[in-house]
Amino acid sequence: MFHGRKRASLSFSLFLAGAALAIPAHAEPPARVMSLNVCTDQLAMALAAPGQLVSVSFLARDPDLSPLHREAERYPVNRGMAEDVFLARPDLVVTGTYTLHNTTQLLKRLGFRVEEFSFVQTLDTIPRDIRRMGALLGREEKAEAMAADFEAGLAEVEADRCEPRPTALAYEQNGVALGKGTLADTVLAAAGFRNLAAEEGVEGMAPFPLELVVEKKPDIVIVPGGDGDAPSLGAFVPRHPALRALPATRIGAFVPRGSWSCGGPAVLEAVKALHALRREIKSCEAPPLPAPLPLEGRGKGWGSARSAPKKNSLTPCGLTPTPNPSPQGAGLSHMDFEFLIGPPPLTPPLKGEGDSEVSAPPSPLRGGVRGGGPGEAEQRLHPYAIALPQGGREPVRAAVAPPCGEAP
Amino acid sequence: MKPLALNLALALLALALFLASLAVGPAELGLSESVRGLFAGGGEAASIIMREIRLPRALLGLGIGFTLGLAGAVLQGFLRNPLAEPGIIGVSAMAAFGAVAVFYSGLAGAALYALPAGALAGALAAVLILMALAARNGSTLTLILAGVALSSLAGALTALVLNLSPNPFASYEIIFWLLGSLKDRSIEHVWLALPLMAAGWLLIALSARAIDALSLGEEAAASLGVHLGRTRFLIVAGVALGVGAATAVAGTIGFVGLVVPHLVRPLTTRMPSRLLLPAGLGGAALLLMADVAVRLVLPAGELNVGVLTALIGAPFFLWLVVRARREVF
Amino acid sequence: MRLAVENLDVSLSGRPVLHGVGLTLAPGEVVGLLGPNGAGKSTLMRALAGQIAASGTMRLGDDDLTALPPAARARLLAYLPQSRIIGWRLMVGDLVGLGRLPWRGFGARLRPHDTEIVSRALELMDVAHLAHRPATELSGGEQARVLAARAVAQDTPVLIADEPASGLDPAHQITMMRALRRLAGEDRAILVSLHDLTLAARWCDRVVMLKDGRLAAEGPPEAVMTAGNLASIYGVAAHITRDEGGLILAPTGLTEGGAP
Repeated sequence: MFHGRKRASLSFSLFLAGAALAIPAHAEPPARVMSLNVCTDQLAMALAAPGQLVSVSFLARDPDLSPLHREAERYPVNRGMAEDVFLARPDLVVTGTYTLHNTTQLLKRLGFRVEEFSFVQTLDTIPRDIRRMGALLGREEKAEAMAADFEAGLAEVEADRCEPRPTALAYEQNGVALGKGTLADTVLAAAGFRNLAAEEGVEGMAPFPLELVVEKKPDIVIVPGGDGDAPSLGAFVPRHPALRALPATRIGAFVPRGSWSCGGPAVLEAVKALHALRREIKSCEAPPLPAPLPLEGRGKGWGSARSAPKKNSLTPCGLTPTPNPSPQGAGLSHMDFEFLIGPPPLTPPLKGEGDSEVSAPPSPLRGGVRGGGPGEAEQRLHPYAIALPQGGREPVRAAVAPPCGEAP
Repeated sequence: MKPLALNLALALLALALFLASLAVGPAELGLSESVRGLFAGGGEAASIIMREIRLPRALLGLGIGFTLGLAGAVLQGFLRNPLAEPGIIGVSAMAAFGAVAVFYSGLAGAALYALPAGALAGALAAVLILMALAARNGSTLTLILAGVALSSLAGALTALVLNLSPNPFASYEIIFWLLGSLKDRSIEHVWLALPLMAAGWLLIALSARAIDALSLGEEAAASLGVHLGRTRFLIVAGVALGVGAATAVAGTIGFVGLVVPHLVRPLTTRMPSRLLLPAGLGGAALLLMADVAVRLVLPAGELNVGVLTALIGAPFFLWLVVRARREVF
Repeated sequence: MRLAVENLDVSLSGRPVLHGVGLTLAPGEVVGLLGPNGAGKSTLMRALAGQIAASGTMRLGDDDLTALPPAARARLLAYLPQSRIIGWRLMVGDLVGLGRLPWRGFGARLRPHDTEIVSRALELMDVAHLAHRPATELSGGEQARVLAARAVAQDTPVLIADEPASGLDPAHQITMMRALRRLAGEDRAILVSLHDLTLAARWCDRVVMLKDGRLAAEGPPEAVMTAGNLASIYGVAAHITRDEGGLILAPTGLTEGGAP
């Protein structure tokens, strides 16, 4: 896995270099940009200058897929058809590599400039995609700030991880689990969970038998939150009574609606939500993890050290005395770390807890941290949890949707 | 074979396969663990797996198999048509369409009961259409052709509704509706379907005398005191209830109702009423066997059980078509 | 029990088929129903059997036949339809046993009494030796007798048989008619439609002749089966003789103007 990631990141860097060559810095930024894919929509909407983005895909308005769905209401939508593009005459089309492949070929033949974004997405690819989109749109500064914000936020969460790591299962419609190589896998890792599906050998998205879920008793099962008003049979599987019968397993949507469906800045909200959940359900017995994930792809060096346990944090992590002489031990302050590691990074300094997390969940989540054990009542109060059985979806929809328009 | 011996043998076979169905699954539970899980209760994994996952599945296999075998036997008897079967004559497909139309349109929200309600309506419509056709021209061919038309229409409408659903996952579920499955059903599904199926069994059982008499044709049957209208009602309602409920929770599982009556008929007096119970038990055994097999063949991905029954049933159907040209059953 | 029909009108799909037909059938007699194709013989029989709607009065003994529930009617009147349908590979014994259906409770099996009646019916129709053979594998004549045995096994005071002798070889035609006579001898009333004029003349106590849905002639064969009636009803000329057993009628040609 380590090896594969390295190779992937290398080829990606080359690709980036190529892209950079293709767009000379002094070139005029494209005046009319069209996005055909819900994931490029997120980046484009977040970064484009006013009037620059002429349309986004129709899926951008779907709250289950698009964290910026409210923002998307302000743009015309396209259906991803070559005809849409032809009529709009954009200077630049951004889309995904795998979706609408035929359309992409056709558009290229018609002489449109098409930039594709890979959808093998992990936490590592997000800052690079943000920067690349920034470069394409001529909005490098904003992109840099956003990417750095993302990296910093991620690093902060990652530094706060500790042992034991509870097991988690991202369980989608029809009992499909998100395994190794998925965005969810890296999000779970960053939030301090073990991904049960990956450990059981699931690569990508694959069916995961219900019986195995029961047998392995994951600490949490993350099920799809709102599936809107349109029912599907597949939605029954993650709500199967057998899961509900597991006494110690918490089942819920847990991540803000739509936040991890695309690799974009909003994924950080998923990471934070899961991280908060992680602190809530299990206290730390061992010091924060040294480095469970390879980090060479992270762009900005190991920023996580910077944001290791905050002095005033109430997490058990921060209060646990450590037998390990590592510099990340308890008692070291935020500033101490910065001092130890070196000059502050380019990213804007972290703001105080609360105001930096634009779309952070409301206080009940934090309250849960103090609350300690995962009691029944508390489980129901969790803003991202859906109270199973039925009828739980409403609270999800109400509480989960982040104020996307203001997302970083 | 004596009827009692035959029924006993088939019941034992179905029971054995029911137990086998309980014993097979991705979680490798030992025998004693399974038995304790089934009866002990509590929050243990083995208990949850047995009671919440495998028991509903085995119960549905039993009930749906029984329903399909019984429905096939009664339709063959009533229509005096060896090729009649809920799947072939389009009842299952229409039931699936009914379930899909009601469920995915969101009329009933995501409520489970929307499924059987729609499926019953679809099955009822199909049986009524076919009976009306059979009343005018009762030939085997007419019925089968009408079934082909009805199945195609229902399949297309099902695909249409699924494609129109705003839920992006819905359109993938056409596989389930066309080639059913018992995977990941819960005890809720059992409670939803079993009472309806049982009501269907009862209605069909009440028609037993009439279908015996109908083996001599409608005129002779009427002269034997059979109330044809009442019989038609019993069978229409019984088949619609049974097949509708079965399809609502498991999708279209074809050919069970075709294969089983033909397999067990030579072991009976061939009197249609004497075929009902053996066909039901045989249907249960066949479906349970197929459902065990799909879990063993592809343990991870798991084949839809409807695929397996079609693989067994379709060649059998062809063979019957060839044989039907020369022989009486 | 005496069957009395008066003023029977029947329409099929809006087309009047029977017009004011009256008929009586007394216990112990075999009545032949004659007439050309389309005269309404089968329609009359189906109306009597309660299979099609008819207006007029139909009484059996003291009962209004039209008001009886189907099961009760089936215990009083057996009907052998013209179409010979055998749906499954039923054993002859089981098939004839179906005749006991109206007498059996729900789900009940054949009692010894039923079995006895079934075996008598089998013997009467000369098919007892076929009891354990599949009915579908018999010859047409054998099947006709097996189906007739089913109607006989209903053990009713009235039996209505629609062309039971058609398709039978001469010997079995005689077997069939002899069987009907024996049933009449048990004080039953028998109505049988026939196309064979000689068979009708020699085995029936009375004949009823229909033409165009109306009663055309009625009475003992000797009185009714005259050259004039045959010409006006069937449109045929016939050679008519007699021996000690009764009339012998052989159609020899069409009358002037052909068939009516």
